[in-house]
Parts: sequence; structure tokens; C-alpha cells
Amino acid sequence: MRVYLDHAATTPVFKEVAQEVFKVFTENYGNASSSHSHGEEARQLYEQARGIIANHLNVSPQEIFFTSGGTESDNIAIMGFLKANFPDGGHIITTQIEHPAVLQVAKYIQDRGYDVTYLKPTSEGYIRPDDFERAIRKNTVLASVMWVNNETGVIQPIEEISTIARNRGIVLHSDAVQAVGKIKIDASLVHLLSASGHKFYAPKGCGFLYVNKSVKLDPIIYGGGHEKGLRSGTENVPGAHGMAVALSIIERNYSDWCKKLQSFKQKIIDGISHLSEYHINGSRTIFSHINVSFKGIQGETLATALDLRGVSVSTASACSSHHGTSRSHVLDAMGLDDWIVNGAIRITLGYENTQEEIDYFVQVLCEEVKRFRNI
Amino acid sequence: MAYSEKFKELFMHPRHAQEIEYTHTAEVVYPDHGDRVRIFMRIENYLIKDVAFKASGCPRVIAASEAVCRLVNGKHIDSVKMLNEEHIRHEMEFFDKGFDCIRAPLEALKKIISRFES
Repeated sequence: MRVYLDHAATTPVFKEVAQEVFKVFTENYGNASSSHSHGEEARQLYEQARGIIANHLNVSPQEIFFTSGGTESDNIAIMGFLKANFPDGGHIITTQIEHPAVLQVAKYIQDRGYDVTYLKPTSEGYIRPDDFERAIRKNTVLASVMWVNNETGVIQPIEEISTIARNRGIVLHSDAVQAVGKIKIDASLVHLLSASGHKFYAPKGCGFLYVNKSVKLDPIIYGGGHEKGLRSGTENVPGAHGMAVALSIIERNYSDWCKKLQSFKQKIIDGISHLSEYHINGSRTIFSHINVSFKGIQGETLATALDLRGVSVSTASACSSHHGTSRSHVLDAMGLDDWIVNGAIRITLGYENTQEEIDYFVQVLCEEVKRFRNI
Repeated sequence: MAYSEKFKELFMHPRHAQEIEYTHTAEVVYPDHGDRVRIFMRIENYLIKDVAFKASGCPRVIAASEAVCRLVNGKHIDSVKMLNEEHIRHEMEFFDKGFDCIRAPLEALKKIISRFES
């Protein structure tokens, strides 16, 4: 049996989405910027998709900008905001547990004279709103705090951070790549929000950025002036349509799927609880994520053995060819013991997983943990 | 990482990860990698009559430990003195030279030989 439990890395495209996208590729292939009827058909689909996505996030369609994915959205949000409003410097707050798409941008702007504070999470992987408030300075202009952490699945206190940011006049960006399509998002809580289609059963290579109408951004790439000049490049109509169809399917089935994944997660945790000396990394986690370490077993070793028995999970720490050992910056930031950081595997459930798959996974996981402890 | 069928077999089905009555043992630890290997040997009249290992670490350390055990089991102690990293890589069918962790069980073997001879 082959079981896919790495949905935080990427998701399969829903069959209905694939069929719809195929139709756009072969029937509605016009350039959405062309004025003829082929172009107009494509434009209609594109704008319809914008409306569906905006509605899903409780914002207006004019505030949704299509991009190539999460990394591009994060780059436009941070760099585009600073370029348009504070080109001469300022203070930015982010966290130590962000995705590299934010952390590397933060490092880039830091090298160019901006001050950056990287908030440390608790040992449970949670950013304290009090720490956020304490980090604010007179010249703080922007904050970037992820909605859900990609490694631990910890849901961050965006609502509390949003209240503080608004009261202090700070623009708030959130990388919601792991949240959209999994938890209900009110994007109007933040000023800028990034999402990526392939994390919610739409194709790879498409994403979007929500930009609150009060926020001005400058482009970071230039060309034909698409997306109101913010993101030049021929409109990805199949991608935009695919994201809209995927979110509609999720909305339709959300209640049932949510219950299903919660019960699968509980089943896995119950299975793990029969083993000794383990640590579940992070609390207040999303229903799809379990990050767990088993004492005495490296995460890479367990993930490799599971893979050889047909189950795909991921690990953040591994020996890296020519580069010694790479470690999870998220678990390190949480201040966890070495055995926990080195032993972590990430199990991320998806809506298409079945009871049979979860039963098989729990059995194989328990067998492999016991086997490695006897080696 | 794509591993050879031989590597997978060594990693998933090690025959020498067991307890034995031994006369010699040595341990090697690579703390930076979190790798730890202990080799156990029963040496009688210069013959390696039995060999086993205990290891915790990455997949390559576990596969290399099993490979070393298979290469030395039943051999005369003199004939395993020349065993080197290339022999281990060949036995494992693993040729990525970036990983030095596979040296750990070989170092444990060398320690045993040196103690046996001293």
C-alpha cells in the first residue's frame, strides 16, 4: 500500500480541479488581456476566480492579486511594501519560525539597512502576542507573522496580533500558505496575506496575495502591467480557475472533511501513545499536522524506513551531503532537546486519506519505531 | 534520497542487529551527526566466529554497520585488516562520497583489531 502523508509539502490536485483546468487549457486558452472573444472568455473565468477566492477570505475581489505562489506573494508583500512606503529604512518584526520565503527576504532587507526583530516562539511553537507588543518600536513599519507553521502546524494568534498591530498603526502581513483551505480565514484581520494553490489541491505554480485597499505596494518585477501593475506576466487563467474550484470544493465538504481528519489525527496520536519516549512538537495545532519525535531514532531514519514501506512523511533534520547535518530552524527556535530536533518527523494528513491508509500507517509506524529501538 | 536495492536490504533487514556472546567490542560516536555504532565480535583462534552491531543514527550508518558485519563474519582477523571505505561502499552499493558517516562502523572495527593485537 502507498500512503501519502506529506500534504504540507504539496497536495494532489482534486480530480474535478484537474478536469476544469484541462478544459481551460484546451478550450478557454485565450490571453485574458486580449480584447477578442477568446480573451474575453478567459478574462471572465479569471475574474470569476478572483471573486470566489475573495469571498472565501471575506475580502473584496479588488484586493486579490494573482501570483505564481507563496514565495512570490511573500516577496511582493514585504519588498513591495517597503519599496513603496519606507524606502529609506525602518523596523520590521517577524518570527524565527517563518518559512524561508519570509526569512530570506528579512535577511535581504536587513543587509540593506532595515532593522529586523525575529520573535522567538515558546517551546510549544507559539508566538506570544505580548512578545509581539514588546518588540514594537517607534519606527516599526511592518510585521510578518505566519498564520500556521509549516513544520509543527501550530496556529498562531493572528487575531490578537492583528489587534495590537492595528492599535499601533503597523501593517501586518501573514504567510497563510499552510492555513488557506484548512482553516477558516478572515483575511481582513491582516493587511497582506500570501497563499499558494498547490497547498490546497490546486495546481503548482499559482498563488495569490491579498492586499488590503488601504495598503500601497510597488511592484518588484516589471512588464506589461498586469494585475493593476503589481504583478506583470500573462494571467495564469488555468491556475486561478483551479484555485477557485479547489476552494469551492473544500467549502462544500469542509464540515465532513474536518471531522474526518480530526478523527484520523486522534487515531495516530492514540497509536503513538502506546510507544514510549516520544515528544509531540507543538500545541494548538491544525487538524492536519502531527510533528513527533521518538527518542533514539533519527527522523531521517524513520522517514526513510516508512518510505520503504510505502508511506511518505517528511523530516526537517537530516545528514546533508557535503554540508554536515541540517536541522529544523523551527524546532531549534523552540529550544527543544537535540533528540527531539534530530528525531522529528512531520505527518500531514489530506482530505483524500482513508481510514485504511491511517490504520496501515499506524501499524507500520509502531513496528518501525520498535524495530529501530532494538537495533 | 534514492538508494540501491542492496542498500535498502541492509537498512531494512539487518541480520546482525542482535545480541551475541562476544570477546571484543568497540564504540564510535559522531556527536555532530547524532550517530553511534558499537560492534561486537567473538574472536576465537584469530577467526571472527560471530559479529553483531548496535547502532543509532542515519540510514547510512545502519546500512554501513550491517555491511561491515557481513564483510567480516567468519573471516580471519588478518584478512579484515585491509578493509576500507571503498569496500564498504561497494557492499552497500552507495557511492555518494559526501557522507562520511559510513566510516563509523569501520572505525569501530579498526579499534577492535587494534585492541586484539595489543
